[in-house]
Amino acid sequence: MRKQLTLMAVFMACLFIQAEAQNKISFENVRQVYIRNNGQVMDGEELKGYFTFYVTDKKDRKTNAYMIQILDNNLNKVKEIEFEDDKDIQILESSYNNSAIMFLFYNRKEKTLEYRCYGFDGKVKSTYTKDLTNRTRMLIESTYGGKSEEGQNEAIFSVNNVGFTTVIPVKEGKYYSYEINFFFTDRNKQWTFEAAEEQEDKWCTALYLGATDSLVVYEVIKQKRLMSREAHSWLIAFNIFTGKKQFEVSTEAEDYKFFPMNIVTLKGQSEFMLLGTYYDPEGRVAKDASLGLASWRYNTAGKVVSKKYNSWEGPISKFLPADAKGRVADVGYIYFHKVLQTEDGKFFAVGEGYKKVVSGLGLASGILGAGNSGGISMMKLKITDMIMMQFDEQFNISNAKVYEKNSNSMEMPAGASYLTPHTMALIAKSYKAFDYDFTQTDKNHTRFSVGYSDFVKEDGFKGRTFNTISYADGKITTDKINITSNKATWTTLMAAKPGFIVIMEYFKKEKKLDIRLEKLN
Amino acid sequence: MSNFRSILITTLLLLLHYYSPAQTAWLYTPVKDDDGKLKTLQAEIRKQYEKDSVSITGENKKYILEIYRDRLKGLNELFETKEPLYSPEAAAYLAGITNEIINKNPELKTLAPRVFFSRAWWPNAYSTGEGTIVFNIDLFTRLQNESQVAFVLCHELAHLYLNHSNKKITRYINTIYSEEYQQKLKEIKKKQYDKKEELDKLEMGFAFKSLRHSREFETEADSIGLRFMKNTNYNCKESLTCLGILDEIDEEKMDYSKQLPKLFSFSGYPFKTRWIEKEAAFFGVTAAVKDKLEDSLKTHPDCKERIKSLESILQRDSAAKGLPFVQSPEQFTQLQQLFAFEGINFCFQSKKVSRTLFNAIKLLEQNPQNVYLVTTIGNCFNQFFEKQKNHRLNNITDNPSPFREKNYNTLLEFISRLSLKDISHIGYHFMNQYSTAFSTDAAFSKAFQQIEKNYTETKSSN
Repeated sequence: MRKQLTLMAVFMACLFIQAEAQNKISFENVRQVYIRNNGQVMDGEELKGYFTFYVTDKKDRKTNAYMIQILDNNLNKVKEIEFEDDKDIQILESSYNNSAIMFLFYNRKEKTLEYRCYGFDGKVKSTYTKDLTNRTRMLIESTYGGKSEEGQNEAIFSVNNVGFTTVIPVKEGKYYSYEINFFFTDRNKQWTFEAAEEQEDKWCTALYLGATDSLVVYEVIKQKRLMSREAHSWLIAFNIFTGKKQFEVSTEAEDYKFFPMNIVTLKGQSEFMLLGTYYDPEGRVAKDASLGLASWRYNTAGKVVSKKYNSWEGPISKFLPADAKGRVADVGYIYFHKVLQTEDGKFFAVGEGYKKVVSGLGLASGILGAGNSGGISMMKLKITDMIMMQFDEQFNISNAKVYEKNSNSMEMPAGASYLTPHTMALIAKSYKAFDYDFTQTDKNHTRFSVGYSDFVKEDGFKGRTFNTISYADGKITTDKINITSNKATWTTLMAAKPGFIVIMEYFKKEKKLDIRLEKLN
Repeated sequence: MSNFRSILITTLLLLLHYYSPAQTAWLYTPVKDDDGKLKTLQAEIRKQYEKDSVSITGENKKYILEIYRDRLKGLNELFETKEPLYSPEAAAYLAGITNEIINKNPELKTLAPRVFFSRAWWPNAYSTGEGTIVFNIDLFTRLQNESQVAFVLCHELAHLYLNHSNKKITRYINTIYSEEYQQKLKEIKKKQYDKKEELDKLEMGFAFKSLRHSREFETEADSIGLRFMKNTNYNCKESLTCLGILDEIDEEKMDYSKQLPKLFSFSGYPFKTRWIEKEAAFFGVTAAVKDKLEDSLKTHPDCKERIKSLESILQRDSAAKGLPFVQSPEQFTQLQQLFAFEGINFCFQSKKVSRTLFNAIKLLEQNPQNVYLVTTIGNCFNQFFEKQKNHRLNNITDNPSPFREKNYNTLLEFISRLSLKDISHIGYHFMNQYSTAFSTDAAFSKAFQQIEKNYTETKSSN
């Protein structure tokens, strides 16, 4: 998705290339506007709009004039924010919370991150600048460089209508750590939590999970050593209003190891529920297969008050031909991309199959290279079908369906033959090798659409397709859009508001770019 | 007694005649253009362009010519898209008004304007500056009498007479390409910093001046137009009522958030309120958002101000006398009725299907048993179905926007929230209500057949 946005930026920048055919100068000949970057404006998991960041003028050697153009989710221009700033800034992310919009600016040269919050009048409400060390800067570039694959932010998140929370990776000495900030939108106030101050493990990182009325909750992954591959999951929660740490608990201290993927807040209750995969208490998450899907219910003190498990060999096997290790016939293991609860109380888990298989390319390279496989492993990861599991309100599995697609594979670097398929799957995920694109939903999860790519060869059509599995009004529907078109020179898709997709088609002959917001069926 | 009986019968017959249009739905037949006349008109426009091209002088000739060429291109596009409406009846009616104005104002005779109706769906009339005056049929349907039409034409003829359009073009070119301006532009171009700021200042200064002139031109066209009107048999006071109508032209009388559930709720497929639920405004933007700068950049003065200045002229010159209609009022009413349907038909032919549905719903309220309108609404749903299935719905519908008319936006939000099944089922249930009454109508049957097919296709789907 990010690639597509960049492509759009490049194309749109081309539109501003000046024509000097006339003898006399017109305004258009003089005016120079460049697009620096663009992206989505998110409110939690919901796409609310888009931003385009323009460089409109040079003010002096170090300063540019900029404009952020904000479009709503129907592609209407709703606001333009103009300001002057350092010439090296770019916007990493944007988040919206019904009363303000926050942008994360990154200045590579000055090594700063700036969180700037604007009110609806286009005026700055608050700003916070974080100076980065060289190491943290590199860490941030590697962390944020390939974000947004799942159509969600990685750094700024809107929290109810109260404010925004941010998570920054930090590297201090030999320690990899993180910093959490919370910015209030109704007042120029914030709180900060610096994990490094109380950190024992060499490596830890935090991921925002969600918020209740009073708590903001993050999952923390900790490793004793950087290369240990022994990742441990923790849960840390703060009081939204005071920033006081409410609890920090391990999610591995119960009967199973639990890796949460999503939070479910319970209406009218202070308790919350976490959804995710669970593992053998002695198992290693990065290496071993999961035992199934679990939901754990927590109280505000961080105590687990109830647990529910759906194991592969137990409940899930009634709906899918799965063995105890989670291998589903013809599909292989399942990598879960998303687990969520919809407004009507049902739960859904979206996954994609994977298998470790022999690489023809790796073998051939090995034979030709007399044992040296030329940097390609003899084993590769085969990515198979999509799977959607449905659960009732008590988190009992009620249905599961395999959505067939053509398999895709990812070659692994030499030496990866000994990795477990699960480690390979984590590598594949970080390289975006899965066909899963994103899950679009609204704030209340009234509906959602899972998007994934495929390549089909069928009568009358051969090429890339974009496919969706959607849930709305209690029904599941599927849809397919042919991306390779006979007429358009190129076609690309962008995430849109729930139930929609933005289709961009370029017609070279007519020099026409057609951008349409289309409804999914 | 017999006299009384005959009076009674005559009265009854008159009443029957009077009420008949409400009972028997009006039958619409699309207007057939006089293609020969349209070709002649287009050839005349081309000829005028050639004449104008050779008459341009001065060092900026090539730039002025470029704008003239664009203008010609724009006019040709009107003809290519079949926008001009040129039936003998409509053309004769418009010529009747134009001739009344020109004959009573000899100074206009040399202008030899080409005046024709356009099928465009929005209320507007304009003079392109090279002798063409276009009167949108939608504006015609909003007016109350011939005098109001005459005032609009007088206003546009005044623009032509005063050569406003060409003056604007020449002024623009001669300013932008003047030595002084070019020098400034070159200086800005050479600048390393603050290019945009300098350019904005220069451009804004020109825009303010130019738009001020535009507003002055409008005021001038009003007063000179009124002068032309005074010499005719039309009632000059209608200039004020005409501007009053224009002032309120955006006001919406029907509430689509009530109309849509009324029209599209069926026992077999009830209306869902979430189809028209209002979305929270993003970034606080509602249609009311407007800033002072936008006001300064308006090309037309406010209608209220225009009314005020015309009122003072009319008072000064003693109360104007004249007729609301010089030609037959019936013809005016018939054309209005025809144009209301013709506009919808053109919208549909031009693939502006969401706009077609919007206008058809409005007209159906006044013509509830009209087979053409029912069929058109059915065809809109058929088009939505076909396009949505192929992910091309946006080619024939507009996106919802806080900047659109409230009612149209309600309809667009409604369309955008319908699933493929909703579209086929709403369309089917809507048409099914009329399937017996309109069973003999070929166009209705064809549309219903298609909608039944779509309905069957999605009936079993989840």
